[in-house]
Amino acid sequence: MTAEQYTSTVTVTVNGDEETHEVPDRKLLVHFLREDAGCTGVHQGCVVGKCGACTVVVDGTPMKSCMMYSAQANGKEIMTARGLGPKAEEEGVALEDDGDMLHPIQKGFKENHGLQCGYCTPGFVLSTYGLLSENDSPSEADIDAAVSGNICRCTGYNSIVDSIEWAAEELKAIRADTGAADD
Amino acid sequence: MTDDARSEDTCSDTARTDGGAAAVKAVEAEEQPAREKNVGQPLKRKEDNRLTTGRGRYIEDLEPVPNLHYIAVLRSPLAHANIESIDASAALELPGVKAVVTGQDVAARVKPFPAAVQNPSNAYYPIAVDKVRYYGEPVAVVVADDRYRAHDALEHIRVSYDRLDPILDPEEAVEDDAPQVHEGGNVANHRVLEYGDVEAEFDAADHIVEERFEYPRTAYPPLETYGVIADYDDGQDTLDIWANFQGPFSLHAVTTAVLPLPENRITLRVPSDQGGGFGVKCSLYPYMVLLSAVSMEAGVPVKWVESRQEHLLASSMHANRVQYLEGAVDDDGNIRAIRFRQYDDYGGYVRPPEPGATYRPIANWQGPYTMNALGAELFAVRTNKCPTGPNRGYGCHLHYFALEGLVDRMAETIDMDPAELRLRNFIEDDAFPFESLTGGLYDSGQYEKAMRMGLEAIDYENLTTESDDEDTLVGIGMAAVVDPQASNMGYLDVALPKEMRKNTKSGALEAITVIVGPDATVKVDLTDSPQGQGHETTVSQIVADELGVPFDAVKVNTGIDTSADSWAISSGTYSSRFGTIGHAAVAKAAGKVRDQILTIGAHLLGVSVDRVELRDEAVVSDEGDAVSLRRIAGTTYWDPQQLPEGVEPKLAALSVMGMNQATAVTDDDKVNSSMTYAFGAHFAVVEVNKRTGVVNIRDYVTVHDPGTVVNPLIVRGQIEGGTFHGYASTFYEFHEYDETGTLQTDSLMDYAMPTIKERLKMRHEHVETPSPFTEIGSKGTGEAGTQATVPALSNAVRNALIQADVDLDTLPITPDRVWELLHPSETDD
Repeated sequence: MTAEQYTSTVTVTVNGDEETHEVPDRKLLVHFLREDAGCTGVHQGCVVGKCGACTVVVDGTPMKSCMMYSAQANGKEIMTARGLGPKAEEEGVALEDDGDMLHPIQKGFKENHGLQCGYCTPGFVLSTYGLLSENDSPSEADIDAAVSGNICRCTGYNSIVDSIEWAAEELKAIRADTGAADD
Repeated sequence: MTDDARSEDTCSDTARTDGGAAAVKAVEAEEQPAREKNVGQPLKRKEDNRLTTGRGRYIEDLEPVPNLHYIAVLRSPLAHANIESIDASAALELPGVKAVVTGQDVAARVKPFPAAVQNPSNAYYPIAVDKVRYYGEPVAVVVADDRYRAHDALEHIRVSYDRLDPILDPEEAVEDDAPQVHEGGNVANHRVLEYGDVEAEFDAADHIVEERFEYPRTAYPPLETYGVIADYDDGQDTLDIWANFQGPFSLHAVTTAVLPLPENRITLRVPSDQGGGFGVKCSLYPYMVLLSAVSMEAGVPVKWVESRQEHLLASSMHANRVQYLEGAVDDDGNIRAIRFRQYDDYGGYVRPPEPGATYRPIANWQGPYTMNALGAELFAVRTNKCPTGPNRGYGCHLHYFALEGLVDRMAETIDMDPAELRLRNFIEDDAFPFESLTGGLYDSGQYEKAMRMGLEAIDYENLTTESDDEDTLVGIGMAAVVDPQASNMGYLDVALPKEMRKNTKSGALEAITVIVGPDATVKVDLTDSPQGQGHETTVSQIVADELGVPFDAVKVNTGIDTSADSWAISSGTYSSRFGTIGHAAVAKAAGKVRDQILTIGAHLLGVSVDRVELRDEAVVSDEGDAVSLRRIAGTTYWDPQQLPEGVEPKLAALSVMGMNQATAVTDDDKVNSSMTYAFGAHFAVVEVNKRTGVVNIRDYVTVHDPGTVVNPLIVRGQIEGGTFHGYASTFYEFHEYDETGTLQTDSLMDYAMPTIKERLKMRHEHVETPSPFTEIGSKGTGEAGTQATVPALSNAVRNALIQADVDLDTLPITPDRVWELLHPSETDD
């Protein structure tokens, strides 16, 4: 037997849609998401867990999808950057921007020029989502800690810190206005 | 000012576009406030909704043809060896494996790449043919129906090597008895150049200041690695390549020159999004050729996405350099001349566009300083390391590390403040356009103003290196650089003496197409592949202003299809050129369309063209009559009979723009190696912890003059990013080989890319001196930050260390190196 002959049926919910595929046990989650579930917004940058481009939210927690086998995600709920806008709509915090419904985090990156090539950005916004889910008023040190597992090669990071601070304040303001946090 | 603040007023228009009788509508022109210009506004990027939601389209996302096979590359575990045999029989028996392609197979299908050096015993193929010359060089390629299976098969290929001694040091490599990377010697290129009477200036000077500088192997690897898809269609005898190639397209010519097909049968397509480039993706072309040969050999379309390890060990690095620099300076601070001898280490093969790291900065070797003479002896050397290529700052950051280090040492020698010495020698404002000793034509600048702005921002007058903490050394550093943009096609001709030059090159072209469609929407086709520079946004700003349409009405198509687009030989996003010549070509193409619109609009209004203007999506006459752009477009395409005689029925223009300043090399080795020259000055205050060797940056100020700023957000982003790269290679990132030539930094566990925790906080000041040579006065700004950061930071750290009688002339400045410098007795064996 070779490694590729061991397969499993993996079922995950990705951005609300169920995906079931028979895949080799050794297949990484990042490859499952890109190749089987069609989530090309999940990027791979290093495949050793250092750059964070492949970050997705697994059952509410940001995870590096190159550090998991797809079989380990069986039965779990996954959100990618594509799902963040719909999630924001569901929570009543979405911001309309040029025809798109953006999460305040995504809007924050746009407002503060927190991205250039955009390759790392899905990972950054999802790590930020994890941070702001636990901490609505993060300090600079909190931000550094939360996204230090994501590498950006373009910006130099200062604008990313600005983006995250902007998003945190915006989210708090929206929730205060709408009572969305009480839902 | 944001886009929300733009005027919402537009010319009302109820005319249909079906070619009916011309309906001219009068408007009260004086009541229409002019729409605010888009150029200069910090408009939010058009790209960002797509990119923040993961809807970018990168090379890895493409599966453009059926039956795609995947490849995996077997790479050399040795830096230098002869290949005795390759046995792939076991690999070929594995399920899903279609073929194993070796160097011999590839060499039978493609020619070696051309070289721009004197000693061409180079034979550079994209895969080792009979000898490996660097650790990680491709040796064999597996083609399989699945990415994982292709990788499995690598373990089943048996290669027998005859190990040879590697040569790794560029100064040792020029010795006669050094191991030979190629037959015919390791010196690929050697030139002695002299501008002015160098000897006389050195004889006359009060002081001669000398220093040896060593710049290590650096790289700015983008987060997205290379990707290539190649499909040879033997029915059509055509070759289609998809790749995240960033240009320059002169390397497309290099690519097609070695393939066994004429250029009109080869199509290169570049996707609209790229995950960073920083020059590294210029060097993708060997893999475009490799996959093309593999597709031909295996008879199937093939795809490859480089792993991070492959990228770090074998894609492209910047050449490392040893430079001996001498400055002739007088007691009063007058810099008379400089001369230098340098050894640039290009690794296993000097591949195009190398030896560009040596020659690209030629026009600005003297930096921002006036002097009377300049001399250089240049060696381009081959060693057993990864081949090199452009990296942000290409050649200049190395040169300025040494030149600005020398300026500090000259200041110490004559006991003058380093800021004062710089100010005394700056080219003055009224000297522009300024011809440098080496043939550069600096277009514009206000160096003193920019420098003084920075000195004030950092409060230089009140800064002190005194420390109240005995464990801390404080250092103050600065650097001033002239940053070249949009490199001249011809600077590499300097690599050959004039009697060896066959066909010189000049110019630096860019091709841009602007089209107004029948519904009056505007489309711009770029032949550029942006890697995060926001082309869609800045181009929209320029075109919106030229055509008087809203920013949102302009659709910009990025990415390239060489079979469909009108592209220029130097197209691409590299050498900070889009901000210069790209923007200029956009403005020029849009200007042509604007003239067409005005001609047709005036005709429809029944007045002469000198009596109309274009604003708010209408052509308006001096009497207040107006015809809408939509009406003009509709008439042009649907009812061309109404057009004035001799006017073509189209609202489209292609601008293939060159700049006449980019002349070919002269017989006396002068060349204007770039189109425009920006200015940057950086200032740093650092603290060195004597107990740990850790450097803390207390303050950092940048001043840049990129000419006209099209979008301040994007310019700032480029400066921050460029500065960050210079900072990263000053303190963190470098490639280290051990004595066997094995790369020690082949994963992100070893190669220290700074994270958000290590970010450099900085403040920015700006001067805007428009270029008189470009359509809208903008210059590039992608590389100036990198060029100025390295010397500013290294000068600051050295300024701290000399207080402990320690000198510093090499990078990176890691804590352990600083500690060793400060504690020599404890580190001696």
